[in-house]
Order: sequence, then C-alpha cells, then structure tokens
Amino acid sequence: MTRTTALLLTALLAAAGLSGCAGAGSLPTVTVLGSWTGEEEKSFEAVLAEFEAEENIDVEYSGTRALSQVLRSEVQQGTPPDLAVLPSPGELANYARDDYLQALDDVLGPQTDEYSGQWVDLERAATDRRYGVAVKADLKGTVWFNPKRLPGPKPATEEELSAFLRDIAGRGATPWCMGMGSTPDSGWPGTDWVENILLQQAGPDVYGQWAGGRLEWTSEPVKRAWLTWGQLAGPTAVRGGPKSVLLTDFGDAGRGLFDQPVGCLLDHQGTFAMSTYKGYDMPLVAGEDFDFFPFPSSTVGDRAWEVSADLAAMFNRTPESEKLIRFLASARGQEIWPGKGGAFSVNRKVPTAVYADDVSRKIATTLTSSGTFCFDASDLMPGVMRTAFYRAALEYVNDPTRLDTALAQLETVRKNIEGDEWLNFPCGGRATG
Amino acid sequence: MTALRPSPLPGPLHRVRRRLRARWKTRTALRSLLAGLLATTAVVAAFSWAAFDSVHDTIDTVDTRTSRALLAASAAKSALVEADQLAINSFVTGEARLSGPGDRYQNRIAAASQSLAQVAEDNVAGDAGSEQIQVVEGLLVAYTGWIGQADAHHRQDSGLATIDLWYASRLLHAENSGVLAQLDQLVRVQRDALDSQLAESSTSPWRTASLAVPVVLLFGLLVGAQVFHAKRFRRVFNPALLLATVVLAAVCVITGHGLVAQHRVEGADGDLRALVGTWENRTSATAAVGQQALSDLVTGECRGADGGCGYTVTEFISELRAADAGTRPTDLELTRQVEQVNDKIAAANGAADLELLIPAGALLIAVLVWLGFLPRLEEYRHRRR
Repeated sequence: MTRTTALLLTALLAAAGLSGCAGAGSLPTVTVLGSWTGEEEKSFEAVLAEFEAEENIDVEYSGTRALSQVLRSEVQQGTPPDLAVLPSPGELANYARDDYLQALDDVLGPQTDEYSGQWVDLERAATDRRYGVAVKADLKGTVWFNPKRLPGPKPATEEELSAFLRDIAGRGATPWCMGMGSTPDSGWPGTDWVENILLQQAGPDVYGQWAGGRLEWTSEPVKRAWLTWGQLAGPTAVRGGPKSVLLTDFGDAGRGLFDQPVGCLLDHQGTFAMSTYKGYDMPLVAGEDFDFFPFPSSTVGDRAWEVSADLAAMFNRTPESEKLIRFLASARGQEIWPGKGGAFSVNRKVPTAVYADDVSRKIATTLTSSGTFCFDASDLMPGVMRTAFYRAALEYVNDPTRLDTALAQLETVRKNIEGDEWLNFPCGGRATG
Repeated sequence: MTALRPSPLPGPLHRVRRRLRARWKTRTALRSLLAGLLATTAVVAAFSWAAFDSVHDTIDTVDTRTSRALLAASAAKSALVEADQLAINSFVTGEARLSGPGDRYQNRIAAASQSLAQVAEDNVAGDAGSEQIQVVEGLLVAYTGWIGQADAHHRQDSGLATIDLWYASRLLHAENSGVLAQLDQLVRVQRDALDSQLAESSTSPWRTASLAVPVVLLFGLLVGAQVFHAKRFRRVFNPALLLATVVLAAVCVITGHGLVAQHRVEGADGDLRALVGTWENRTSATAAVGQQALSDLVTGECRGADGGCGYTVTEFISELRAADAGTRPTDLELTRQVEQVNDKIAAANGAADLELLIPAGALLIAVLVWLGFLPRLEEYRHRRR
C-alpha cells in the first residue's frame, strides 16, 4: 500500500467516524398530531416536555383545528403521524376498523389497576382490542350553578328538577342560561341536552342503539327526550328567549350565573365549563362561585354518565412511539395536565391531590368510579347524521312546534345512511348489543 | 576542547552548488506560486458563484412563488369578506327572496377558492402552509353551508335565516379561530418563509467577508506574481497575468451585481409587505360595512335595545362601534402597488443571466495564469535537463 493510498483510507475512515458520531448525536423523534392549540397546546407541550426530559426522545407536536382533514390527508398519502390525539371516538373507531391503527394491548399491558374496565371498554373503540388512551376526559350532563345565589339541596329526580325550575320561575328568575352558538358546529349544545336526557330516561342500552343507528328518531324514547328538553328549558325558561339562545355562544351563556343583577341560575354544560368560567374577566373560585350537580336520572340503579375524551392512538409502531404512549397512559404522564388545571384524568392512580379544588376532585372521582360511561352519541354518528342533528336542535329551539317535522327529517337522513357507516359502540361496561 | 570546523569547499564547486540551489529555488517558487494562484482562483469561483446563485435563486422563488402565495392569500381574504358583505346585503334588501345570496356572492366565493388554489400551488411554507390551507378550506365549506341554510330558511320563512347568517359571519370573522384569522395565519407562515429565504442569501458581514477574502488574496497573488517575474526575470509586465487581473476585476463586478440584487429584492420585500397591508386595509373597510349591516339585521330580530340579544351580540355591537373602518383602497391603488413590486423584483433579477460568466471568468483567469507562467516553467525545465 502506498503512502497516498494509506492517507486516503485514513481520511475516509475518519469521515465515516465523524458522520457516525453526528448520527448518534441527533435524538430519535416521535411525531404527534392533535387538535389542541393555544393554551391547551401549551399544557400538552408541558406533558411532552416531561417525557422528552425523561427519555431523551424528541417529540414533534403539531396542533391544528382541522385535525380530521389533516389526518385524513396524511393517512391517504401514507405519511401519518406516529401518534394522533382524536377528540372524536367515532373517528378513532373508523381508523381502527380500517386497520390504520396499531393495537395497544401488548404495548400497555392490562393496566387493570390504573384504568377501570369501563374506560378500557371505551378505549377499544367498538373493537375487541384496545386502540386508544384517554389523555383527558370530561363529564357531560352536569348542571352548573352559583352557590351564592342558589344555596340549598339540589334536585335528584326529574320530578324534583321540574318542581325546582317552577320554583325559580315563580320567584321571577330565569332558570336557564343557554347558548347554541359554536362555530362551525353551532347546535351541539342542544344535542347534548337530548343525548343526556335520553341516557337518563331510557338507559345505556337504548342510548347505544340510537347512537348506533338502530333506533328510529321518531321512536317514543327519542321523542320523549326532545319533549322533556322543551318542557324543562322551553322558550320562557331560558334567558332572553329563543332568539337570544340561538345568537349566544355556548361559552358566553354561563356569564349569566355571575351577572349583576342575576341573569340566569343554571347552566347545562360539560365539566369543561370550569375552564370557560375561569376565562371570564372576573375572579371566580370553584366551589364558592360555581359548582355542579348531576342532571337527574330516571333509570333504576346507578346512573350512567355521558362523557367525552381526547384519545391518543398509534399509527406507527416504533420503540419511541411505544414509549410515548406508555408515558401518556401512565399515572406519571396523566397527572401533569390536571396539575396545571383544565383537564381530568381517568387513570385511577392519579392522586386527587393533584387537582386544585374540591369541584375538580369531585369530577375526577366520578370519572374514575365504577359507573357506566357512554360517549357523546353525536360524536359516534356518521358526519351527515351529526350535522343534521345539530341543525335539528337549532330548529327545535327556534320553534318547538316543528318537532315532528324535524324528527321525520332526521329519520330520513338515518335511513339513507348505509349500515356499515354506523358504529356499534356500546357504553363502557356494557356488552355489545 | 577543540571545536570541529567545517573544511572550506573548494571555490568552483561551491559556485556550481550555489547556482544549482538558486535554480532549484526559482523552479519551486514558480510552481508554488502557480499552484496558489490556481487554487485561489478555484475558491474565488466557487464562493462567488455560490453567492450569486443563492441570491438569484431567492429572487426566482420570491418572484414565481412567495409573492404570488402572499398576494393570493390576501386576495382570498378580501374576496371572502366581500362575499360575506354581499350575502348580508342581499338578505337586508330582500333580493335573497328571489336570488338567494346572489350571483356576485357566488363570484366572490369562486374567486376566493381560486386564490386558495393559487396559494396551495405556490406555497413556500411547507407542511405548515399546507395544513393551514386545509384548515381554511374546511372552514370555507362550513361557511358556504351556513349561507346555503340561510337561503333555504329565508325561503321557508322559518325565522332562522338571520341566525344562519350570524353563524356564517361569526365563522368568518371569529377572533383567533375564524376563517379570516386562519387566513392571517396563512399569510404569516408565507411571510416567515420569505424572511427565511432572504436570510439565506443575506449580505451579512460574514458572508461579504467570505467573498472578499479570497478575492483580495487572489489579487495579492497576481500582483506578487508580477513582482516576482519583474525581479527574477527582468520583465516589466507579464501580459497574461495583467489580463488575468483585469478578468478578476470583471468577475468581482459580476459578483457585486449579485449583492446589489440582494439589496433590491430586500427593497421589493418591503413593498410586498406594504402591498399586503393595503389588501388588509381594503378587507377591514369592507368588513366594517358588512358587519354593520349584520348588526342591524340581527338586532332587528332580538330586541337589541333591551339586551334581548344576549351577551355575544351585545359584545359584538360594542366592538363594532369601537372599530375604525378606515378608507378602502381602490383597485387602481392595488394594481399600481402590484406593478411596483413586480418591477422591483424584475430589476433585482435583471443580472441573473450573468451567472455563467463567473465560472467562465475564473476559467479564463486560470488559463491566463498558466500561460503567464508557462514560458518560465519551460525555461527552467529545459535548464534542468
């Protein structure tokens, strides 16, 4: 070997060594797509920062309000994110059904001490394997009030609620704060009323049949739920009347609880209302200025809760994405966001001490209890049915006498949807019907 | 102790050895100088060409994509606001009874869609831009859906037409989350991409120094070579090296054009931002008219005077009163500004065709240097033999 050849070889080896060192220096990466932007994105980034520090793995989070479109586009192009956090369990179930998702059973293990069977059922997304991890969850069917203005016991049955509302109206006050506005999906606050009343009147089985497209909109339980909504919160029982309800954003409706003079006394919202109230430009304290009671149930036995959740799902299985999903499912990962406020965990090992107030602790305790949990039905329905439901809720608020027409139109939409577009998504803890 | 002293060489042998050493030194000096000149010429060529190419690549991208994407995003925003105003007006005047939101509304929506397609084609912001376009397109479908509902409800006299219009307009104008806010974000990501592009070809002191140092070094070597030839071989000028110095000066002038082009495109960038601002003023003025009409329409239905419209509408009206509509720039003003930006970009790109003269000039310098050294190298090679 000549001297020149030896020198060249040495240089090549040195270059190869240097490039190898450079490769070893760059961190492995996990990509995550979610719908959180603004303050929520900051909170989730805080969770991811803990993971990055612990595992020395870089997480690239991308938050977009058009999560459905962006995710669908990436999946179709064959470049899905490693993980996606989906606010709609129906969407997760569709991806699972189409075999885009990686099952998490062997990644996470049974986790029976951390998650109740009900939540694992929900995270199976209408399949026989676990595909999702609830990063955060909310209760629905909660009625918020201002304890300073509405002290005393709260109604526990539908009859007691009717009497309670009559009493409020008799004192010249307006019972309900209500707003249907929520661009681009105005009308969903009304669908929450119908869903919750149907669940509390007819029970989880009937609810599951209806959410799965197997129960007619014109059937007695469904119509009764609509009528009950109209009776409890009709045109004279809502602040400002129907037009005001239609023109008010759902997030603004609750301001009436704190207005001077008092605007309205009750607000039917999910537990995310706590974050909304804390965003008002006034110093409000949970437990002192606002608290909640559950919407009364008419079913026999334990009540079922309507819930919503943001579910993390895995599209690409890599050692790094496995580590991240394990972290997100762990008690360690689940307690970070609740500790900062604005989120509730369903992991039973997250201590209630991480929550800042008793109201939050009450919500967390309920979410981790052994009750029955049912996902928001409209989130499980095909898109065209969901939109029609939102619009029907607006029609009903505007003119309750058109209920029969609206239900007939909804039934027409249901019949025109192919059977395989519906999900058989039972409530958590209920066998597939 | 007695020091050892070298024995003196005999006179003739010493003279031969000195003569041989001098010849050897001259030949080595010639070769070293030639190698230095050729290597420095290669460095000058590489650095100058890379800088020139970088500047004109940037100008090309700004010309053919970035400016178009920015203006198309601004035009989409303006078209949507005009469409919204036209739709509201058609419901206010009652034209909607026969023609729905109207042909002009449809035209403006079509224009907005075309502008969005243009942004998608010229998007320079990568995934961030593409995702933002998808967000806007998704919201736009929802917006036109609400206007369609308003039309249907207006014909049915169901009392929901104004509510639908309200939802549609809120969807468009909502702070942070509305279509216009998303379009603002789209403009922002394109502008950020433009900033990055300009930064890549910037005339920073470091970059200017990286160009100047090899040129000064080459110039110094050429002068040094002239002096060497003059002293060692008693020639006043080496014509080939003199010509190489002239060519180097020409290469410097061409490279300087690249630096001037960078300044020009940075100037065009300022005008481009001003143009986006003018679009913004036009959009704001149109929006103010449309939102005032919407306010009148809505408060006519919900007892606005006694607070029966609810918190959201009350807040909307108070913000509307506080807003300054400003003056609406005309089409002519916009056209003039567009022409101004285009002229500046074209002027910046005027010297792009000179790019190939840099490597050609460097090659010529190398040949001239070689020719300048060749006779002396030949001479010393023969003497050696």
